[in-house]
Amino acid sequence: MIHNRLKGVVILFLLLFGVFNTANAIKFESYNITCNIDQSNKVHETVFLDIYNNNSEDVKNITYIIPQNVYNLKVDSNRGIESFSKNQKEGSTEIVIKLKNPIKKGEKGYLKISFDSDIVWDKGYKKLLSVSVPAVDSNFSMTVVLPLGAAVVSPAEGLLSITPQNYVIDTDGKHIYVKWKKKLNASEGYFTATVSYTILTSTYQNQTTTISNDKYYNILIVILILLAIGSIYGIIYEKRKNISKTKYIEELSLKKEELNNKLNDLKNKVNILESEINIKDENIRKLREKNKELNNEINELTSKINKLEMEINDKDNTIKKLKDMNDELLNKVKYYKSEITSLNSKINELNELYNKEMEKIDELNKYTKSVITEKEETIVKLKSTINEYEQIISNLKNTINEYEKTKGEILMNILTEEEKMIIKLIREYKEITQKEIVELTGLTKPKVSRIVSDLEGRGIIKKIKIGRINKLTLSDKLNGWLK
Amino acid sequence: MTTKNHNILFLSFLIMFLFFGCVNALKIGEEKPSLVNNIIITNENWADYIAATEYAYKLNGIILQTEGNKLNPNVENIIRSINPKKIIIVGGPLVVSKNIENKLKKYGKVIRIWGPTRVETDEKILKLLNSNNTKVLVNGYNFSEVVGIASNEYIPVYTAVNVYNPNDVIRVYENNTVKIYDIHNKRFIGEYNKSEVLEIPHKIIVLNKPNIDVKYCYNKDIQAYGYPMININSDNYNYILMKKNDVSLLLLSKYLNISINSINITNQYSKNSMFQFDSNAVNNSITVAVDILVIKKTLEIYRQNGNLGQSLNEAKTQLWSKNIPVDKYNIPYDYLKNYIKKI
Repeated sequence: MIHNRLKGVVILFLLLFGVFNTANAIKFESYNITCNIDQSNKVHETVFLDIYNNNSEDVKNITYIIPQNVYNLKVDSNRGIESFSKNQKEGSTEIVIKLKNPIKKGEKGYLKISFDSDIVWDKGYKKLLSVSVPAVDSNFSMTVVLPLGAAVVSPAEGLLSITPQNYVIDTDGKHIYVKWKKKLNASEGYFTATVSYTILTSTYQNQTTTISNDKYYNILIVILILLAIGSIYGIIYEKRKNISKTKYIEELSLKKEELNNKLNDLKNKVNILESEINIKDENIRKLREKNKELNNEINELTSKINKLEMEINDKDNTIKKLKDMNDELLNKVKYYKSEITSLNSKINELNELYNKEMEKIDELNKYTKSVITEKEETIVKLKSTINEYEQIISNLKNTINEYEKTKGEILMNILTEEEKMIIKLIREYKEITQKEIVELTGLTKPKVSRIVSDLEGRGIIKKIKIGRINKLTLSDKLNGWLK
Repeated sequence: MTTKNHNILFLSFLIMFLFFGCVNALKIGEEKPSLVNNIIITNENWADYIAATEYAYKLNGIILQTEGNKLNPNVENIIRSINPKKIIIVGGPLVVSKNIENKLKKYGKVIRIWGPTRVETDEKILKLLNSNNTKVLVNGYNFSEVVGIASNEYIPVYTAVNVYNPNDVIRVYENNTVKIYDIHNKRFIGEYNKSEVLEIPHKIIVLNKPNIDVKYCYNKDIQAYGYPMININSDNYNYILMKKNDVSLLLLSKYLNISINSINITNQYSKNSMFQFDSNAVNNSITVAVDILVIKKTLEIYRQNGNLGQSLNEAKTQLWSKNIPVDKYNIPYDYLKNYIKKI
């Protein structure tokens, strides 16, 4: 029970530890994505990840999964790239990158992944970009750069031009930029942005073509040519003026060089003097420091002396106290000595009493020993008597056995020959009638009858009734004796 | 398993766990990003859709119906856009063909839950569902019974109930079985376990009941077996307005956390104003699937920005950009507002 509870506590602790450890193992300091859409609806995406290994093993392999098919994949990192590959399956692309130098514990590294994809949904006049990227805990930014001549429009009724909200629209005069900047959470799974736009460039080109045919446009060209000629003349005039000014500037620059040389000499001297002053300042500073150190030492020593003096006073007091205690102890020793003397005399008395008691105990011991010896002797005698009786019993048993063995013979010896003959017949046939005995022995019927009743009377044979016929058999007592 | 083995397992778990905190291969992004992880596919029939409703809700998934012999192209488009992790076909190959199953394999892992009849199919779903909600035995072939229970927030347990007139059939009782023959048509009806056949005055009821622990029923013939009738609020019989083609309403009502009956009780909205359903079950299942996708996405965005109107439009735009036909979305704004409020 306790063992299981302990296991539970360990698991809970490890869960907390695991969550904490995993959450802090890798940090994405920044996560920036740029989607540049060109005129042919191709999107050039660049993913920039700033990774900090906070508390983890070396990060060597990085897998970035993007839910779209990509091509023209390029990967770059300040840790060097050993290899990279892409695996497209079920509508997503798994980009596997192996760094040359792993991002070790406490180190940073960036990763730049760029690729092209066809994620613009072209509905003729209107186009829709839908881009999804995996979310990680980071300071995230995404910029979508629309193609030249693009304008943001609503894709359909009830739908929004740009999602998600909190975007900023900017332009450099040529392109429209849609930007998102937010704290991204890994729990969001994916960040999805959509932008609906249309291309207006073709209309603009048509307008210029119509203007080029206009006569005012030709006049404008002539005026521009005249202005260009005037500008060229102005440039030549200004160039001539510049040559004379250049000569004067050269003279001035020579003088400036001389003054600069002098200034440099003075600066050098000032530097030397400054360095000397610095050395002296340094010496003064060192002496001051030394002085300070010595003062500190003196202060320390004074305080130590004060402490020692106080300690001496304390010790004097302690010695005084110890002396008083010593006197008291001496008095106590005297008192205890007298006590010991009186106690010693009492002990002597008690010793005498003890010796007397011991003598009595010795006498008792002697008496007890003699009694035990007597009893032991009686036991030995009794044992020998028992042995004798046992011997007699065994002799009697032998005699009985011998009697049992010879009982049959004795019995046969006391029988008459006719009786023996009849018993032998009974023993041989087990069960036999009187009539059969008469027939087998040739004895007369009355004789057989007399012998049988005689043997029956002596308990040697018995009659048993089988149906209506009486048969003779050996009595149970003799069964086994007669062989 | 011995204590020693337990300890070895525990130690291995600890070691794995300690390694779990350390990262040496960094992975950014999900292997298969899906709008919904689980999609259930049934045919156009109401029975399997209702049987799968509670299970779909438990899996946080959607149900799409299709014609039984070919995959509806609109359904295929929506599955492609959702990119699900798992597709569960409910019903046997006679109901949703093998051809459809093979086609679906392109879009995710496909499994099929089915039995020889709707009773066995329902039994398998209920065992997977493993819900503690009140279960009620119904005649699985009676639409009004099934939908009556399902729309009252109970779980219908399909049975097959057949009632015969004792004068029309011959019963041959054997050791544990009963054989029933039709006298007039001179045909063998079937052989049943004795426990499945009940003879009461003027009736012989044969009940094929799944092996599910159920306390109540919603059918008088099943009641004869000793199951008490469930008490359904007699005021709320509006569910009977529901047709066999718009049973997908049941799944949506689960997601919106409203009972179908309560929609009508309030008289605030009529059922028709809520759903512009047509007579095609497949189209209606797509509409409900789109509704569920939109409300789920709206909730996800609303949790970040707190603006419901903006979240709804953003959700629709983002789903539209993934080729989801959001023009089918038809939930009145007030319903959405109440749904968000409840969550």
